[in-house]
Amino acid sequence: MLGIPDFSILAVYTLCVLAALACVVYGVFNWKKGANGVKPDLAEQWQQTEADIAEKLDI
Amino acid sequence: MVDFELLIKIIIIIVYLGIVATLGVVAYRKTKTASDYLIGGRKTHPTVMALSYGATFISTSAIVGFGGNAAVFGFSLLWLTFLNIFLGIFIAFIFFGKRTRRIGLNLNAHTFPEFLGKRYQSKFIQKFIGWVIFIFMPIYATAVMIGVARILESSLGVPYEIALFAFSAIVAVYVLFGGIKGVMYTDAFQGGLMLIGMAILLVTTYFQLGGIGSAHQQLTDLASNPAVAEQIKGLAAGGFVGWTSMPELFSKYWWIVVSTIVMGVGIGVLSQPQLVVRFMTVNSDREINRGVPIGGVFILLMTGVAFVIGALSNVLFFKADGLIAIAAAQGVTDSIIPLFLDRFMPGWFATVFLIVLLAAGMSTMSSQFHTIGTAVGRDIYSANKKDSKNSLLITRIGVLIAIILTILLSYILPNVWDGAITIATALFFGLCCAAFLPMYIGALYFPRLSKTAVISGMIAGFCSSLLWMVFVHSKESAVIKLCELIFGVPTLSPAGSVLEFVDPLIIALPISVLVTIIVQLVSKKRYQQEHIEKCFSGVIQTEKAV
Repeated sequence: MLGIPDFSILAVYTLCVLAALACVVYGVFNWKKGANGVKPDLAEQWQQTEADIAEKLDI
Repeated sequence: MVDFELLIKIIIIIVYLGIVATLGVVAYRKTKTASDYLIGGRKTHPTVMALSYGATFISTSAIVGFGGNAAVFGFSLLWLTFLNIFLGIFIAFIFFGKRTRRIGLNLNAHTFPEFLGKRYQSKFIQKFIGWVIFIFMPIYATAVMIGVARILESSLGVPYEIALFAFSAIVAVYVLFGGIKGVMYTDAFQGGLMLIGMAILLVTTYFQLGGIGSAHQQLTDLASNPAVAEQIKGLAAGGFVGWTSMPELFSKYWWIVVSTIVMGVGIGVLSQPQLVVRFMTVNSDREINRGVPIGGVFILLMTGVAFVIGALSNVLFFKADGLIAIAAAQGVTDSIIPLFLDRFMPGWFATVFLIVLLAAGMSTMSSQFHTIGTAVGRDIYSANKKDSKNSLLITRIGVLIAIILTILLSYILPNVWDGAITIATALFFGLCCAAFLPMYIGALYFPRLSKTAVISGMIAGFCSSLLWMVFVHSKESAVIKLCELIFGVPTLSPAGSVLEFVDPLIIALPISVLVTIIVQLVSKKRYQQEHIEKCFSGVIQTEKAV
């Protein structure tokens, strides 16, 4: 099938496509889920430190 | 007479570099002040995060180096693509990414070493990982640099050394003028370019060979063609059966493909410092959910296409010259894909693809040097200091040393290793995996795991990996020469044994896991409830976790 005689190779060729499809299906079904962010004070603290690092290390 | 094709290639490269520079400047201006930075901070768009993750993950080394290996070993490398999608995206995003994001935020961690250091309340862990990144990540950066230099060599028709020098200059300017700032946006732009280029490459190659089934059949038939029997004699002795079959079970090539290429890189991706930090940059789990499909399709189109094209290149080379790919590339695995593009793709596409590979290389290298920079400035140097005036200088010196080391290694390694790209990549991925994966999984899923247990596991994984490289795994031991110096032989593997081809990861990862478990069972120390509650707040119910 598909010009590939070795079953394990045919299987992995198919698995690659199926795995990518599984990613797409997961994304579609969970597109709107998990929107709850984190506590605002934690997020603010994290962002402030990230900005400090960028400024201090210049990266 | 002016070579117009070369002139056009150079103009397109300059235009591309101009766009990247502009994006860098825009990102820099946008994030000039701390308050501006906050706006862009953790509200990264899921497409940007996923493309950036993908472009960092998949670089020129994957396309050129591993694509070249696929020309030698065939479709068996698709197992790596499968692991890249299933483990590297699906499992990494859903089971690792979401917890990393929350715990990272709870602990106010900003780098991979800091994440594990704070989770386990150990400055030693943070510094140790920082040092591993600083010392060993240049080897991985070397893989990328060789890939780009090989492409420039083939495309512009210049010697490898000149190509290496030119690209080193571009990278140095890029890094020194702030190219590693706003990495995510330039990465996403480059990821988009890579997607388009690889899609065109796939369609063109299958079209040239009469469709999917026909192309594969021709590749299958080629292995039994008497005209190539002499050329594949050496490969067959190592266990090669055909390009559309797995190598003979437990043969030399089976161990190389399965243990080094598929397992080493496929599993290793889970604990890559430059990838893990991406999860901490998004605002909620929703962005991670949305990144999954983008990442999955991206990886399929990158490594999947590179490996299919690499293997199929044998058919095109044979039809044109009567040679298989590795013979056409005069035995240099890393030159197969560049040569294939130059020979069988239209001139305009070879130019476009040159940009795609430059983009892939630049995006990965920018992230690598960014990670090295933060490892030096935040993890190694200022892990003990709240405010450090010298951080900036130390970071810059660290990045500069890393760049110089990368250039030197890129000059030396192709002379000592055929397939240097794959070996260098697998070495770094394997080392990170053996040393950090058990403690990273522990950090996310095992609140009871003690500091002593994870440090023991990390050291055991790191040391056993290094020892196996220096004394047994002949690819490295023959080059390092310490084994030769002490024992008078290039490897301690018994003559005729396949042990010398077994990747360090296969030995070191189980050792790391076992040591972690054993020390955990015998050690009495446990974390305080408060710390565990802080780490896992919003992740799990922690009353009974400790």
